[in-house]
Amino acid sequence: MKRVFSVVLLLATVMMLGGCYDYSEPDEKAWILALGLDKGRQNVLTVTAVIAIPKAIAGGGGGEPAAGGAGGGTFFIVSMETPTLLSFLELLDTVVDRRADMSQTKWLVCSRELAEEGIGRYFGPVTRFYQFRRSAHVVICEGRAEDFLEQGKPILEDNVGKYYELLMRGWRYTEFIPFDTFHFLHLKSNTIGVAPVAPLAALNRKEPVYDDNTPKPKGAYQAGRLPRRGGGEIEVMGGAAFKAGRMVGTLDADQVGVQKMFFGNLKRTIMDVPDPEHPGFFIIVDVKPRYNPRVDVRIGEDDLPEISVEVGLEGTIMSIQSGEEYETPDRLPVLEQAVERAYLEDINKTVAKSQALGADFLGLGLHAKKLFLTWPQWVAYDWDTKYPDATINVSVDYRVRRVGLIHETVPLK
Amino acid sequence: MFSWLKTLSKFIMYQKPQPAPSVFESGIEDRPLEEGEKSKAKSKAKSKAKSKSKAKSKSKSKSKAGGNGGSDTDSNDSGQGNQDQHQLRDSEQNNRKNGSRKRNSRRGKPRNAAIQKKYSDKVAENQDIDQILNQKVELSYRLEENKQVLEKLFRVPENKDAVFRSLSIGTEPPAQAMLVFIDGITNAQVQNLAVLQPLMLLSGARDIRQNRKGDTPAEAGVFLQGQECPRLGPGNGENKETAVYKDFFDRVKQAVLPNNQVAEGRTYDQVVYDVLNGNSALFIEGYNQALLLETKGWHFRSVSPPQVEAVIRGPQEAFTEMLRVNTSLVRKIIHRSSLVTEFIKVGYNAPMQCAVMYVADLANPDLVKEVKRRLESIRADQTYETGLAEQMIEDNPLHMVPQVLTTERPDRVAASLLDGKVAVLMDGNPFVMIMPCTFFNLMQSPEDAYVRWPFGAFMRLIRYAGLFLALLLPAHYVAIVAYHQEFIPTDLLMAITGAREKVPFPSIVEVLIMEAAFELIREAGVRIPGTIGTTLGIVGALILGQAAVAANIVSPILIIVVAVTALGSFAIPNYSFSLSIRLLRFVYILFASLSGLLGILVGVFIHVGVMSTVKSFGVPFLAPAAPVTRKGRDYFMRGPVWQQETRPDYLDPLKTKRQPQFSRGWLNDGDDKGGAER
Repeated sequence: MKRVFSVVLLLATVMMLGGCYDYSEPDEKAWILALGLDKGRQNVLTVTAVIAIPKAIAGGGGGEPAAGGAGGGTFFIVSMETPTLLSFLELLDTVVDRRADMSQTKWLVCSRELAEEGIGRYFGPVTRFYQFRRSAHVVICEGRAEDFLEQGKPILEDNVGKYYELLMRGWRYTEFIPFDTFHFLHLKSNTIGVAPVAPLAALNRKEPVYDDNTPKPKGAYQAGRLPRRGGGEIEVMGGAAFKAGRMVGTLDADQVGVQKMFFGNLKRTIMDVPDPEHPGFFIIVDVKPRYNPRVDVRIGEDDLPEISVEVGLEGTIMSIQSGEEYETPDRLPVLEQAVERAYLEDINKTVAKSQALGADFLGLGLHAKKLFLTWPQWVAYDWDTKYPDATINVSVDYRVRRVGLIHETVPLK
Repeated sequence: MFSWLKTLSKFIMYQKPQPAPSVFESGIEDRPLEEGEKSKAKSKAKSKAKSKSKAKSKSKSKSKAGGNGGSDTDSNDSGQGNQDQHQLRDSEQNNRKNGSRKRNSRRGKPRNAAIQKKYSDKVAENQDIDQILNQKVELSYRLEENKQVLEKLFRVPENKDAVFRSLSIGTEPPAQAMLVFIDGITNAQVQNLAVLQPLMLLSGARDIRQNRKGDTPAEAGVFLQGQECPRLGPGNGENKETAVYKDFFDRVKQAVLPNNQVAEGRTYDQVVYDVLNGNSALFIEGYNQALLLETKGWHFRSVSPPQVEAVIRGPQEAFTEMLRVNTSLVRKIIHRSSLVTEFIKVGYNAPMQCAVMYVADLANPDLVKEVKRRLESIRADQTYETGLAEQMIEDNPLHMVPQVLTTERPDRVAASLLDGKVAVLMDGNPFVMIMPCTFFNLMQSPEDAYVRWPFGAFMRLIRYAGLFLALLLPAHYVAIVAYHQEFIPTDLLMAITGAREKVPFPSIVEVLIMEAAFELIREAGVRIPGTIGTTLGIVGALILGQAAVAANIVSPILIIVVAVTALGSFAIPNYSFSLSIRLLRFVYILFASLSGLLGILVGVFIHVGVMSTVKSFGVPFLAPAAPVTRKGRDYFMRGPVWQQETRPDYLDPLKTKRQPQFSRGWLNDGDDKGGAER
């Protein structure tokens, strides 16, 4: 009995030794929802934090949400000039009364300027420090990140964190937003034979982007070059290709779509295909991958890679503007080939871009890797220098599975 | 080459295999192996358990020798139990004398020496009276002497409850007799019509009728001669009919009293016990025996719907405070001749009638023996409630979990008995103890079996969810809010943070305030007089509801946590188990506040570890799960009734099979013998 009691007492004491060391109330912390990195004006970096104002979001004690719709007032911005990212965290505690905490951070926004210089060195703390989440997105923005974050106010949301999250969740249902979170960005940066693509974002460009109304595929846009009026200030479209921790170029939305398809992240997309028989008209089809692209790599005689890619797609007819009847079994191949041509063009453009940038963001190197028996052999092969000169053949196979709710087109009379 | 070494080591290490005495004795494996029974008897330093079992076996053999023929009447049983009890008590007293002598020598004077000195005559008198009972003084032939002794026993001039009704039996010449009973616990009508009337008015009629048959009045006098010669042998009577009776006393018992249960008492002790239990004792001048007549008639609550264990589907009756009604409620369900009801007197100062029920061809005899052994050995001052008895017989009194299942539902008792368990019913108590009891038993409700199995299984899942919510939800709230904010989705975090902005206390204090408030409301709800019960609802709703939030004492999310916790704890079907959960919840909150989820994990580790050491009547508390034994379809989830083919393995019942594999005979096209074969 005495022994049992003493053991219990001992255990209780051991438990108490921790002494609530990490105990902290959520209302004693300042929740950083996004961090912005800019080239500094008075120091190395200008770091910007978006800090949530919970009482405005929760509506302070059960009442109405304080913010009247515009989502403003639910966060505030602090920008500071610091030598490194983590020193900012320390400096922030001199300005904000609550202790800054990054464990809910959604976005790490880098200005394009900084990204082109190379941001690999700033990622150190992100991978090591426990408060950062690898599920955060690294967003490359046109212009300065502090302006971007300050003006990026949600309209539908009270919680700016939710706004950031939902904006990024677009990767599931559009091809325009890359999938790579910080985790994949980090992994791909550390591997030979693949390069990451970060989402590209920008503030709404007020002045016109194009001078005429000639047809342009919707995927030709990218953030900062999106002709529009209204909506929130932020737009996320297209990607920033990285190589060795440095941003080397931008991808438009279609190219991001191809990149995602090569990694199996493309769930579905909609394509506007020019009607092969009626110029000026579009056929709109729904496109889903049938299987992940089958990549076959061989090392040719000149020691350069020869790559053949087989892309399988399927989908539904969504609209035929011309009223031409393509649904019959004998006419379907016409439509399918039109889609294949259009898609092949996209892929070829993307491949060309990737070879031009020298960044293998399609991950073809990952398929080449298996040809080498040891890692040193693979490293010695030096994929990055060989890749731009590789021969790449792509074939696309698209099948129409369904014709939508109309099984037979009747031309307008 | 070294095989001889192996053989030698085997020879040296050889131990004689020892059969385990009983599986159901707790901690049997912790005790050193005892030598056989003989050495037990030899060893002078005898343990308590040993002496008890010995006394029991002695008394048992005696009662068997008495050949009381297994009569099932209450008073007979009680009489036997009585004897056993007293033998036990004597042996125990001897034991205690040894012990107490030592104790006294250590402590010196007894504590209440002054009072004992002041009332020394009273104390001495009480001791004298106790001697009459303890030493089993036999009744006297003289009616007057019997009366005096009984008056002394019942402290009669002061005590108005005991009634001594003197009467004369209406034979020719009349025989003097006396009826002793306690007023208020006897049925006056039965006494009037079935005892007094036959004795005083009709006893003669039988004589006359016999006379008319051709008997002479002189022969009728044979009975009356009994007064003068009490030990009249059966051979003395010339008359055929009178030869049936040994003497007058026997005749009164056999022919005069139309009472359904009549027993004979020979000692004051027996008489007093029966009289205290509502029977009447009839003394006849010249006989050193008393007739103990069944005249029980106290008031009791009628069978009513269960108050604690309500079900929607299933029988809607619960036990009452009447032992005999309760046993009948069980017997009503189990129509089986092997259902045995044994009576044991439990307790020391005010012994309570207690019934041990089991199905003789199912329950493991070791289990029954162990239950009876524990009950008989109780030397408690108060054992009038099953809760009191439970605390005296449970294996591990220091553990938080109940080790005896308490229920007020006859159907649950019946189901357990048919599993091979033992039920203990106590007089004056609507709760019945079922033993052994495991964790999974505590989480079951009879209704699980009465609804179709998917819903029964679902209800169990809900209940387990309730258990975990009740035990761990507030702790998790504290742990996550205070230590692991990164767990919380941002929106929820903002909601929690925003709601907490104006609350001045840390989360742990908030939780403790609300939990304490809730416990207060629950306790007050039980104790509050019914007439002002509605007040509690208003006050409680105010404390736990809007007001606490509006006053910024607690955050609104915590209200939800506390409410869900409360709901979870109400979903636990067993009251005493839910009490333990209520208490342990605070331990978990403490752990969580000290080191977050790590603390909770440590708590769970210790908790489950400790629980796995608990035993209920030798059966591990987590029985089919830890230690792993064969599991039926009814331990965690509920399987279909027709698949439940075996009784619980841990009970070691005499019949393992519940029902044949094809329990639905109609499925074997036309061959409906499936159900019949057993």
